[in-house]
Amino acid sequence: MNATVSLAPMAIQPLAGFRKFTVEQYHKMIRTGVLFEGEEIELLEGYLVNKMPQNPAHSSGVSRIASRLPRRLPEGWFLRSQLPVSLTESEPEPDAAIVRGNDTSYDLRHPSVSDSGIAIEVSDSTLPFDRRDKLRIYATAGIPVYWIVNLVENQIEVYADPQSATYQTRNDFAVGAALPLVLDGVTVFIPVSELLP
Amino acid sequence: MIGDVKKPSAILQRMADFDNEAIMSALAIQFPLRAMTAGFRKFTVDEYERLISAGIITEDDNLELLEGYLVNKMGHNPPHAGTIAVVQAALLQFQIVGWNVRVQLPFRASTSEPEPDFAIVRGDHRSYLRRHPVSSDVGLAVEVADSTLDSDRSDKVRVYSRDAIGTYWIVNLVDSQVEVYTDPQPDSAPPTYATRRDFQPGQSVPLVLDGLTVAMIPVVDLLP
Repeated sequence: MNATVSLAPMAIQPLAGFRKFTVEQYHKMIRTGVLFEGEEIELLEGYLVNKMPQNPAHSSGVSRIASRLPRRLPEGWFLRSQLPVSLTESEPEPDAAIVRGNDTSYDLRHPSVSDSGIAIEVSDSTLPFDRRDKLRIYATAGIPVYWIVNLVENQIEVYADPQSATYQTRNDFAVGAALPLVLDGVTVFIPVSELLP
Repeated sequence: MIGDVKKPSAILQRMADFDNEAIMSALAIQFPLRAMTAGFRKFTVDEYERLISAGIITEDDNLELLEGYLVNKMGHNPPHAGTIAVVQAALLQFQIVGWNVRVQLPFRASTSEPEPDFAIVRGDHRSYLRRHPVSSDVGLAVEVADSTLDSDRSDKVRVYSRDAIGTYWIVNLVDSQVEVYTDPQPDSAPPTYATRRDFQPGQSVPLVLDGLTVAMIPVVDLLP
């Protein structure tokens, strides 16, 4: 865990909280140009949050997943990397998302929960956030399976069975093990060594 | 939902030790943790006004833009709301030539669009039909402080002094006094007022606009 991640100074102390936006308002802000296309932000539980810059370990982890996982996916599913998924109160951009369809399916809208099979985050310095905040967001939305590719402890954590804003099961897989990729009840086993350095 | 929010800054001090799960979970209830590190996306005043003109922020929203953050305003309890009426009567008893008293209306500052409980601004009641006042139009900002006292003494001091608003009053209902902040230091880090003088019941507060004392207002006329 990177203990030197600095805290952005939260100078304001709002007693009544920060203004939250709905996903619809977020889309309107993008359409009207208040937010620039390509801004490095996400809508997380109503808050507009800057994305963190990526170090090489993280970027490499993301590109490894993006290049090696697609060949393993069953028919009818494809992988999107660091692109939006529209949930009820968030629009995160997971490091990878396994969604239904193909690269022509989302010209008019982003994938939603019902399109999503697996959300994947590559975790280096963001491990606490990915285990707590991103987990809460994906579980609350009902994304069936959530993977954390944990670069700190060199394992892949598979969370399943979303209920009450959390996942009911967690199984960890280290190099040498075979990781179950489950989509629509179909399981494919992938050697963890393919996905971790 | 943000209900009873602990002051984030005190919690932030302790967050320096990242392994403290209890603190992390407490904060996680409030807003995404990563917002503490990479930060919330901040808005410029122009973007804020575009959000309003696009209807994304409406009249039903009770908001201020403070230093780039969109912050919900607190609802008003009777002591706060009642004191607004009291202070309004005290300020409106004078007809100050060249100045106008505005109540809970916005003005454009450099990185904020606050809505102080009162602002005394240049001009008359028709001066701001096409644009809001800007900081240089504002001679005095006043906040009535009850539960918001800490943030009125910190966030609002910073917001108003950053833009060199000449005088800032806090009508402090907690301690029954009027705090007068003068000599804004916009370039200090953080911006602040160099002088603070507190006035008690029995005393009178000078109403100073552009360096000129235009009235003396008894403290008891400003408090419940």
